[in-house]
Amino acid sequence: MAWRKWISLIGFSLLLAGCTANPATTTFNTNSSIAAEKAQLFNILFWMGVVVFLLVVVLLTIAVIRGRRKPGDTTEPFQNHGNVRLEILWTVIPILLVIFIFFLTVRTMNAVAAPPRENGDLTVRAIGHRWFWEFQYPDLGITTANELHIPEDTNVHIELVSVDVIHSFWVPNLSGKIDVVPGQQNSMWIRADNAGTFMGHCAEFCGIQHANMHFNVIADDASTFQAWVEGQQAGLADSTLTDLEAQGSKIVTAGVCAGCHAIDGTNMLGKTGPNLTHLYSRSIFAGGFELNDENMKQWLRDSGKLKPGNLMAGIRLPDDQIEAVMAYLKTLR
Amino acid sequence: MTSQAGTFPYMRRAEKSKLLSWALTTDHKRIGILYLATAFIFFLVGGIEALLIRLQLAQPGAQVLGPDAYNQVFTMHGLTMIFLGAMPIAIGFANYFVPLMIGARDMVFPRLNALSYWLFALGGLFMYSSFLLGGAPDKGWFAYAPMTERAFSPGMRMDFWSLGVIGLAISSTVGSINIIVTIFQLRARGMSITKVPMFVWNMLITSLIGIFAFPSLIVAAALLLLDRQLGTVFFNTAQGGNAMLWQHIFWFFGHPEVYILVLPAMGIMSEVIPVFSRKPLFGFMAIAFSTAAIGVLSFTVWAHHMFSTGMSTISLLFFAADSFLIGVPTGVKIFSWLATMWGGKLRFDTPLLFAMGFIVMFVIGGITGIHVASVPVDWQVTDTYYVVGHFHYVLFGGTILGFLSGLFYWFPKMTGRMLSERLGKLSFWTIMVGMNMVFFPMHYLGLAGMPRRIYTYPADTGWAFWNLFETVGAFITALGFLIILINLIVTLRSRPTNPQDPWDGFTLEWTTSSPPPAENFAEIPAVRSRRPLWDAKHPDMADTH
Amino acid sequence: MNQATTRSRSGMDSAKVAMLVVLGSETFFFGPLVSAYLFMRGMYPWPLDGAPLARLAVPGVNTLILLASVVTMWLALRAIRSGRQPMLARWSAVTLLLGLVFVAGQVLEYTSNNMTPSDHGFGGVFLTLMGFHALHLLAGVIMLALVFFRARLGDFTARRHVAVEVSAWFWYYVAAVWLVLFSVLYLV
Ligand code: HEA
Ligand code: HEA
Ligand code: HEC
Ligand code: CUA
Ligand SMILES: [Cu+2]
Repeated sequence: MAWRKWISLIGFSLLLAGCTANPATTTFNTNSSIAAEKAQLFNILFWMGVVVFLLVVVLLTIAVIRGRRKPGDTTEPFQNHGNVRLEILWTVIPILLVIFIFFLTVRTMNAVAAPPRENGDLTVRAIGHRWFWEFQYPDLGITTANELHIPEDTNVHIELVSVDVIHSFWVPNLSGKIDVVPGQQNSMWIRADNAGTFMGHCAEFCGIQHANMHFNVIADDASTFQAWVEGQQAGLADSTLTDLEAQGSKIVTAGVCAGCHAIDGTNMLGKTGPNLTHLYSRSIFAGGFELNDENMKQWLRDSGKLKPGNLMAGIRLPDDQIEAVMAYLKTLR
Repeated sequence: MTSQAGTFPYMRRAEKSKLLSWALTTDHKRIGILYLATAFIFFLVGGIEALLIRLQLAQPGAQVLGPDAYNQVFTMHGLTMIFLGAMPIAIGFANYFVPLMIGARDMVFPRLNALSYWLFALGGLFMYSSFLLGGAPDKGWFAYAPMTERAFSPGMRMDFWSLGVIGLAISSTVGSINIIVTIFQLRARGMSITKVPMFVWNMLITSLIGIFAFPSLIVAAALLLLDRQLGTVFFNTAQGGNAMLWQHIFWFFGHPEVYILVLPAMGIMSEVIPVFSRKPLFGFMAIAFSTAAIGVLSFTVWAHHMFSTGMSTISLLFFAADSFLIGVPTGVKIFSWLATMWGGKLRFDTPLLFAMGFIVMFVIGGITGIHVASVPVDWQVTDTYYVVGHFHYVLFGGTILGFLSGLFYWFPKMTGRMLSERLGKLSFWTIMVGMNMVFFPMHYLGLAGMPRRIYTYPADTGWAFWNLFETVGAFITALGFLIILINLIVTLRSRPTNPQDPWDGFTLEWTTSSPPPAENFAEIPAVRSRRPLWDAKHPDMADTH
Repeated sequence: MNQATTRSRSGMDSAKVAMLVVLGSETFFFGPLVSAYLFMRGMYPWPLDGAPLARLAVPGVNTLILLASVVTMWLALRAIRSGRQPMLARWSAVTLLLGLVFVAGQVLEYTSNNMTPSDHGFGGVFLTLMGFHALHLLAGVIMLALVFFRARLGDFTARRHVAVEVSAWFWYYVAAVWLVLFSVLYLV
């Protein structure tokens, strides 16, 4: 689609040459008709704005140049109290502009309106928690967190649920945001035209860790997505655990963890925290931290250091248990 | 006028009693000065909070403020700038100049006037005392429910928010009532309501907006307090309360509030531009009507702050259309000011510089306002730095630049001393460079996906460069205000020259001495046109014929 | 506020203008409150505990009391307009007492239905709407008390009695607000 390139080329970014942002999180680098329509609308309004702005600046400049007094000139200028024709002119023209802008707005709203559900569409429940996103696939019986996998070129209907305060679901590359309001059923739809990984952020201030409530949307081609689905649906391969892993398993399943976390096939049914069943099938955790040994160690030792004020901050594992617990968590793929 | 009483650390008794006389004053000029001084100090504090914000955001993962401190600081920054800075500055100018400009000896209810000042000052101190008592409000200046409920905000912080805001709202309501009645009742002979100076007219409209908007804020804050203290469930979503209810009540106040913040500055524009262009205000009635139109429309657009909450398409379109419409009367003002300068013989003194800065900066903010009013665009940029960019261009580029113009214009009248033009021009250019460096890249960052109200951001987002750039800009802005501060202090310590009419003005305040005597006017002047003083100076080209 | 009686361009006394402005402002105070109530009521089965609505006795009587107080207020005003201060004192006292009786009735209503602020919506709404209304009524009571004492001191004449006029306006207004609250809470 040529004009989409055109949008991402020209448009606002041009003005701030050397734009440094990661394409995966901007609203220019659109990867869906939804975001593209909005980018295009913005683009038109932006250039209209530039014209209006330049008009004002040019008029001001001329007025200033013409208005300089000759040295020694102490006379007063002609006293002009107004001019009805002009006043009508600069009332009517803006009104016309406004009508035009309104027309564009309506057009775009129709263009991005949610299409009717068809079979083949995917339905996802995005649940906002302080401070991470949980994702449920009702039709597929999958529950995961922090990473939303979707098939490319498919309409995905998202039901927005909050378990506590207002959050807002936003993936700039794919679509605008809709708030996740407790006690209210909101919904939106997204689709990814091409495979890729897109950054998402919680956009409504939701408390002390609003800043670390990112997530990733991973759009796969059909087969890769299918593989992922099967991976998630499969229970944990009950391969015999090594002593270390078994030791870790005991700590986790018998310990406090069960109060907040769920792991399929164990006694753990907690709902406060993310479902850990396939934890190590993900590449980020806890609202955006890279899932590597260093971060995970830090998380288990004192998650409050990594993410101050998060709801698990009270839980600190003694160093001698961490190795075992990590070994066990790594079996959760 | 010796307002430095009190600025000396060691006071002799005489000065002590002078201080007391200030504390007990009911004179509109002194109360005006108290308002302006107090509000300016609060503004500086809000600015310092802004600098802290910028330091924390200067690079990804910075450790200047923790998340808890950051949330308190940005919340107090917003509250301070709006409720303790911008609004009281406007009321201060109104207190001092509305009576002078309409030829009155004082406000109509002087004691009420003192009351509203002290409510404001104490309300501000009350809010700031929270820093010492378990922390300041930390849920953003519009305090969205249910996050503000006990369950998510234990402790006193949000109670400070509620009580403080209620106090300040009452203060502003009382102030507005006083201004309205003063303008209705105390105009000089011959000054019909259509002949008042445009600043007075703007203060009238502003105050009318105020008395209808503030009650809504009081209701919101009061219901929140009841929820938190008595266990009612208005906004308690866990027990059948409703989160949207809060947003509707708050923004029904919140949007009119933004015009309460800008109309006084626009009034100052409409005084400064004619005087320094040596021409009457172009299309006075058109401007007067658009001001009134803005006042009415401002009560019909509140839900444009709620586009992403899942409203019905029809209401989305209604509020979008209404928001666009407000652009029209605002445009009328912009073009009328340009036409006022057009064909004038301009005097490029500092007041006019700031006024021209207002025009250019405000138009940027207005246009981005139109952008965010377009629903699909707003779905992308709401709650991002694009919005932060929008409202700083209107609030700083509009309101604050307008006030600075007014400060340089009226300072001689208030103190009998001329501010240094050299320092003034220097501060103007510094502030222009600084503010654009801070606020322009915000639009880009918003479109680049940066949400607002985040205390930190990952490096791989690539937002770092422009954030650092903004931080530098913020400190340049601060330098600009430091220059103004120096200008003020140096001038206040210099000996007064008492220029009665330094700018060759048009309106009644310039017929009095600088500073004006108690009671302002020996005998009340009779008025026949909108520019009584101009007529007196130029009988040949008087407005009256 | 004797400055209030300075030269006035509107030809009206400043205190009266101020009171009109205040009442306008008050309308935008009760407006959102009532809307909030209707808003919640639109969302949930209302009232969530039908009981309080059933009994119209107390609120009914209360309404009559308040209407009566409006009449006595008007009599007080008429008295001073023809310069009869003792009458003014008497009627303002009666009005004031009726007001207090009304507030007492409200308290009774609230307690007798043993509502709590948190029992869904209604308790809270009742407390809030009625509470704020009662506060306004008490403000009116204070005004009337001042009127009463100044009348006893003989402050008023047939021509100078702004305070009485203003207090009367306020009283009428608060009564009118009650009629609105009564109908939205009990009738519709
Ligand atoms: C001084 C204060 C001020 C002013 C004057 C304005 C003016 C406007 N504002 Fe702004 N606004 C704020 C302060 C202000 N705003 C604040 C503080 C917020 C954020 C609150 C928060 O979330 O914390 C906000 C947020 C805000 C939002 C919500 C954004 C979001 O949260 O998603 C919207 C949406 O519609 C909006 C719209 C507008 C519009 C349409 C105008 C219009 O009035 C602008 C009109 C002016 C012009 C259009 C320019 C001049 C006109 C011409 C040159 C004529 C030609 C123009 C046309 C034909 C269009 N504003
Ligand atoms: C009139 C209103 C006003 C003004 C003037 C400003 C001025 C500034 N604002 Fe602010 N701002 C708001 C109103 C305003 N702001 C509001 C309403 C919010 C929303 C809050 C919320 O989300 O709840 C906000 C939010 C806000 C944010 C977003 C925070 C976030 O979302 O996380 C940022 C970030 O950069 C910011 C920055 C600034 C800066 C750098 C200035 C600078 O221009 C400040 C320049 C002034 C100074 C620097 C003062 C000068 C200081 C000195 C001279 C020091 C010397 C003096 C002594 C030592 C005594 N502001
Ligand atoms: C008080 C409730 C609670 C307890 C007890 C608890 N957690 Fe958590 N845990 C959470 C919450 C809440 C999060 C999400 C934090 C966030 O992202 O803000 C979390 C996140 C995690 C994560 C990251 C998961 C992801 O995908 O983001 C891991 C791993 C984890 N916890 C392990 C543990 C282990 C091991 C224990 C026991 C030693 C434990 N937790 C005990 C509440 C708890
Ligand atoms: Cu969740 Cu911000
Ligand atoms: Cu608004």
